[in-house]
Amino acid sequence: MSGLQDLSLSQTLDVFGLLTQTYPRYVDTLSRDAVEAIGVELVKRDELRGESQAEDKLGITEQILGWLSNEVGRISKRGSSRSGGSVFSIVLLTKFHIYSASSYAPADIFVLLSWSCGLYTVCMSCNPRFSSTQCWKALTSALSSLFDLLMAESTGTKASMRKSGLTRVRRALRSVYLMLFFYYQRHYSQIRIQAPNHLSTLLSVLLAKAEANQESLRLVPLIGVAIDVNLRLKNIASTSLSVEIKVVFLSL
Amino acid sequence: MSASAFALKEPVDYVWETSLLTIHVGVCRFFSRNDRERFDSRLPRAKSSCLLVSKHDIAKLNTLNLRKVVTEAMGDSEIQSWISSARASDENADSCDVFAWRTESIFRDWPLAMTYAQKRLLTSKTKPRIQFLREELLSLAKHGGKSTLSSSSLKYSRCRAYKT
Repeated sequence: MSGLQDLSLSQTLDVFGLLTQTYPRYVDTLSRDAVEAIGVELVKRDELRGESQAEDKLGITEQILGWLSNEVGRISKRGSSRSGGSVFSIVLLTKFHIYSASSYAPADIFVLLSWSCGLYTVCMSCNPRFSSTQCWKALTSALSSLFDLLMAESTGTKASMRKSGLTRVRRALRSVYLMLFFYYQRHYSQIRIQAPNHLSTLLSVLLAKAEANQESLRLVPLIGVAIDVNLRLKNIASTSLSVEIKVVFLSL
Repeated sequence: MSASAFALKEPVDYVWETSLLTIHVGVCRFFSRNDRERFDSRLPRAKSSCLLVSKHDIAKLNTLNLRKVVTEAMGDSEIQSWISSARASDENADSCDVFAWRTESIFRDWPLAMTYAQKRLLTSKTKPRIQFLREELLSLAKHGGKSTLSSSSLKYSRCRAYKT
């Protein structure tokens, strides 16, 4: 019954492998969105598989986030090696007007950031316990690195692309809260349980990472956006930050 | 030989860290026929290591993983062997042109289906590509083998339709 089978892990990763080949190539938004939708769907299907308990989770999210972390590490490494290049090489590159802008394209970072936002949204909305997994840390780390790279002046990213990236991240953070809000309102309306503010969790994780990490500056842009979104949330009892978060943030 | 671009040894050394796409764009941009004179005056030292490569071969940069190749200094013989291997792989890839994107055929011959999908994603024009992404691949991701074929699969299932 080959016609009725579901995609296995290797088949799913084959499909995802196809998608990874496209992100440095496509320049049109429609193609990028279509590719992102497929990636999100692959993850969503697996997350729902885990939630239903009738099927076993294949671990697609872990694989995809592993690839994403690897890709982000590669880009970050290239960025740092570029800034430490010799004067001679910089003169050569400038003289011939070849590849002087950057060793990686800001558009690539933007696409990966969009994928991360899509993953963040779908994982948080499908799996309310996602923030307690290891994948959550990997995802937040990738998200913060990509956002920092996109916002950095040195990458030569266009202002419009920076604005789009900021909008994308803000929307992802806000939409997850709204999804959780409506989910809790639908399921727990009689006992009036407040939807958990996932932004507090995100902030706690980022601040803990910033405290421990020497490169804490990379996390600051995302922390700032998370606080910004948190302060403007609607339908929430209190948008003010907890004292612990404030203390840690001020001590950075 | 109608050469539209040049593959060079020396610039590859300079740009070995750049992405594949940047190399492709860079090669086409800086070493096109129209820029020949400008190029000659700028890089007289590198001129001797020029090798004429057809536009078709340069296009192969998009479909082959040449990261390893460009990280090393490329000699003329290496470039020639790459060109011949690219042509060989192109001939092999032609077998996927006759593939019909249907649920049963996808799962019957998965590698061929992936080759076909790769070709559709990397070489087709924007409109059919988006249609393929939205209607075929998304459907496959959503439902796996349980999907029902969309109407467009009939339209694009054949090589003839794809080529047109």
